[in-house]
Amino acid sequence: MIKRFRATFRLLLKSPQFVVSLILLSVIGFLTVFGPLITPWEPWSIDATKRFAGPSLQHWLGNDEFGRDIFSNIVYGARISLIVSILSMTFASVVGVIIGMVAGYFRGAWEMLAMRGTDIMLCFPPMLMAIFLVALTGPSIVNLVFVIGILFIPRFARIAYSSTLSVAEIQYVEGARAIGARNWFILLRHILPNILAPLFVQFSLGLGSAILIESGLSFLGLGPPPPAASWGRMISTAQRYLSVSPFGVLWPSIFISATVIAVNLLGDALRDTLDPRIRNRSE
Amino acid sequence: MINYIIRRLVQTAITTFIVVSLIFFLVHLLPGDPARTILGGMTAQPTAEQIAAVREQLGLDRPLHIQYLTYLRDLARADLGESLVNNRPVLDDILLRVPRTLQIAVPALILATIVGIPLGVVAARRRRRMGDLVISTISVAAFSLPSFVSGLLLVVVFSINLQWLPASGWVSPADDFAGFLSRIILPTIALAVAPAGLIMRMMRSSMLEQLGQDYATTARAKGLTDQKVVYGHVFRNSMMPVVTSLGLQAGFLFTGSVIVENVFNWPGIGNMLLDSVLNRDYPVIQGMVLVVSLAFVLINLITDLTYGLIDPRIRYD
Repeated sequence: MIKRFRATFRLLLKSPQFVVSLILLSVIGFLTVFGPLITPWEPWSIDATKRFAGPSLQHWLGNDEFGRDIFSNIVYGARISLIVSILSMTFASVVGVIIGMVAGYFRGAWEMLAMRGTDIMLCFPPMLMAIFLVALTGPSIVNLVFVIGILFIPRFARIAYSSTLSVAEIQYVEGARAIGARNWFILLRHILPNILAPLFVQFSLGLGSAILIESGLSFLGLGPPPPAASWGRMISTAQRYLSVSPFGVLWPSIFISATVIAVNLLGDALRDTLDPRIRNRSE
Repeated sequence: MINYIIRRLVQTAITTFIVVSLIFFLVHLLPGDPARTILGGMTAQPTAEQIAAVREQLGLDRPLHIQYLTYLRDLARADLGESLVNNRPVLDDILLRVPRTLQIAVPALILATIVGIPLGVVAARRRRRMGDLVISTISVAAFSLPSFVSGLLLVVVFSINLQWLPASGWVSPADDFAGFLSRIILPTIALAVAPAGLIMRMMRSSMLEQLGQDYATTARAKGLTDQKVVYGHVFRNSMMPVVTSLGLQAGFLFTGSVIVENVFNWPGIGNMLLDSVLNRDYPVIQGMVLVVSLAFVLINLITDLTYGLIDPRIRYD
């Protein structure tokens, strides 16, 4: 298992997308975890003498309309975006994979229920459902995690379902069943490890969409309420002062875009490397 | 073909019924009392009488199954209720605003296609060379960029710095056609960025897949030029997944238009949805979610029927 992991990692390092995304994600990850130790400013502390101040040695990215330190706000905003997106994808993948595997392994009524259910959920544009559910339940961080998570369950369920269908046909599964292995054991031990690759890809691409939805909702005023710092809300307030100072819009925009680009590149690299069909074609 | 159409129509009818019911039960069964939230915005501590009055106005005091049947009956008469804010019929407002959203969504889709397809073809033909690398990077960046970022960048460059185009607002094309045109340019571009990136990427991978097929190898083997193989044989087949991704693109355009309309202060359905959420105007929220999701059910149906029409293999599944 570890050997296979190492081999995959070595293959990944050959992909320029993976290297770029690894560098971007290391920087963003470092800032997110250690940022609050680097910056001496609280994201909410106001300094009227520094309104719209440009970048300086004390305030690396300048100050916003209340003289708050933009860098601190970005670092704290990164925490919210990353926490929301990682937790929501974890929730979506766990629930989606269980639904998809059960549907693909047991077939029959389960299959019917799960596939028609995901069909219906996929009818709704994600942003419409996100706004609708946030409007009904209120914009807390916990609600955002569940709302975004629910939107992505069908995608994970679909992928897990179709992979399970093909893996369940393979002889070693039949063999395991013949020697009397229990269903849950077969699902966990023989099927799950063999369907992980496409799920990793979806997880990574899903993180990008989740960050976009979270920042979009915050931008529209439906994100986590203050004092939680958030990229979307920073941009939404700063756009009013766009003609005075573009920095308040510029910095968080760069950070959101870089983060989403990084996870999308990671997803692409994973897909190219983990999917044997694409890999062989490229040799 | 007839059988296929009938089967899809029946499926769509069932889906529609489930979507309609799901929206009703989400509104009514999720925690939180609409009456309390509506009043919460107006007075600090609503009295029991006030809450009861609002509940009666919304029909929330009746048993759930009666509310559900009334909702279905009204829906069958195309009655979506009235806004709590301006007392206008919800459906009238939606119908007023849908064209305005289409005024930027349709040009955006066309723009995304015009830009995306040729670039995707070029990237596929120059696979693993400089051109491919540049185009693929642009396409990832395009659909990774939040629409408010692309929108605001356009405003900074073209409205604030160059002062070529107005930064926001809408005028009716009937009143001032030139003004209307100058106002749809920036929102249309902002809205087209993400779908263009997506179309580019789909076109590239679908073209690569077709180029690897046996028939393409055969065509090359019998001595056709690269040009002829690509445009005579491969192009048509690789367009299939792109054309049939209409439903997906429409979803992207909707997500984008909620945000782009907000950036450019464009009075379409995206802004209407947002206003209704911020005002906690429940009948409008419910009506909008209903109309938009039914529109998407319809788009999916049309996509599937077109797919069945173009590709005979689909019909016999």
